[in-house]
Amino acid sequence: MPMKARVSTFGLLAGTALAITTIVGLFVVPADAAQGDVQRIMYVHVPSAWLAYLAFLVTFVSSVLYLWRRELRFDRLAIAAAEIGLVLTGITIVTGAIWGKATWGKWWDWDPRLTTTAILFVVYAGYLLVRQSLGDRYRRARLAAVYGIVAFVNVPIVHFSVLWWRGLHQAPTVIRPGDPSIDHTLLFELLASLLSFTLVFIWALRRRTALEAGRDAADLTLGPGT
Amino acid sequence: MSLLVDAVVLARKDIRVELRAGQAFGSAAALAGIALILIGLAVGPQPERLRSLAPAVVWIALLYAALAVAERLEQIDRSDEAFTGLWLVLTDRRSLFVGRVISLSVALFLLQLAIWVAATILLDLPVRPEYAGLVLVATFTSLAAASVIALVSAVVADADRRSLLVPVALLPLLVPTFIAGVQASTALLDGRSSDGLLWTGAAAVEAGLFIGVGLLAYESAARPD
Amino acid sequence: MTELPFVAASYLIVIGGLAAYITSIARREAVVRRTAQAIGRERHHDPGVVSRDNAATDDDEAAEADR
Repeated sequence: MPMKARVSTFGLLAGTALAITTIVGLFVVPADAAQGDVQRIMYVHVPSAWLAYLAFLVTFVSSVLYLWRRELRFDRLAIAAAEIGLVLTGITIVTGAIWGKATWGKWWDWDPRLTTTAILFVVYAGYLLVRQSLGDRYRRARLAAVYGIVAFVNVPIVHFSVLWWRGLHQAPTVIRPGDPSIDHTLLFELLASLLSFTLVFIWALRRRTALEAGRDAADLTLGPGT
Repeated sequence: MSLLVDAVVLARKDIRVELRAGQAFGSAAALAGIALILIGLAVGPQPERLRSLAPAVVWIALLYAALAVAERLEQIDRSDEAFTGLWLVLTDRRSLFVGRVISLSVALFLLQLAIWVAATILLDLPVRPEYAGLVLVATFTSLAAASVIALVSAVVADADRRSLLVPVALLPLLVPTFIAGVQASTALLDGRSSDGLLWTGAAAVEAGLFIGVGLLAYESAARPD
Repeated sequence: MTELPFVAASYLIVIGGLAAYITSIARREAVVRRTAQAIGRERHHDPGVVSRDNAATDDDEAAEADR
């Protein structure tokens, strides 16, 4: 029964990694020369954003696989990833707004990336609502898969929005040709933070998928997909 | 080939039903008219401000009208098991999607042009030669919006709380088309033809993407139980 | 050091957000576990009967085995 695993070794590992990178990000690495301490927000903001995108990619791939193979395990993965992606998108938006207030003096400045991330949040909130409104288990899985695929078409638009619109948001500093413009110590902490977030993501994904499997096994009708 | 032939037949059916009953287009146009007036009242009698907001006003009115059209066409299909009959008869069911995209595109295209005419009068917009470009904008944005609407309407056809769910599921997915439409028409109204063309191109790419996704996924979305 | 409240708020939101989400998973797991136990008890009392709900799930094979 998948419900057995409460706090697994992997969960402990992920939690410890997150705690270490949080402490290092807050107290150990030096402040950024240009932005000062406020740049430390990057260590949680950027991994949240990247993993939110990864989560939506997982939902997309799982949705395609469900439509192809019609196996419920893909649907469980899709809902799990969408829900975690939504949480991470929410965190990205809030931490981004806080970072914006500290650097631009405004919580919200209709910055392209922040705005389109907010749209992404609404799209996947719509995905979860669509799931909740469909009763039959297999029908829900099939229709949610279609919606999950359509929703993902919006993700590249979000990702490339920084190139489409010219806003306040700083241009990408890590993924671009040539040497990253970020200091190496800070880059190392960013990558370490990304790793710890990824571990937490994988752990949450496994646990949330197991929850869905438990629901399927018990055939609960407690508001599907919630 | 049979896909396109069937699709055109289905689209003609939709359009003929609409021409006879006139409910979808009529209610959508009324809704758009109300939206135009309400937004005008909200902004106040400031001609310059209203003119600068015109593309956004037109597009918000259009989105609400689009929801009304989608709802009505879906109701026609789902009544009297008509959809199940079509499903069983057709060899290539993607024609249902293409047919719906064609009829919805025609409706949205005409609505968009009608709203622009109303907005030109109500908001006192200066008519420029660049206005002709709005036809191209309307063509591609209508195609993009129609393909999203056709697909999502099929997904939520039998959902609980459908009337609430349709806007929640649909509007966020229409945001890219909304942005492209607003930006393209703003550029054209400002006399920036090349920017208008770029944004129209973006709408065309979106239309291509969503039609592609629709062709692949519609059968899974619309299959009756 | 006027920036520190912003940094602290960001980290608190991340940790708090993740903790709240994991708690919500745990809460839902508890519901599933209780329901599974209830179904188990039902089967134990009347092993010849498999409820309609169970019969319609992935658990079909297990249900067959029970019978």
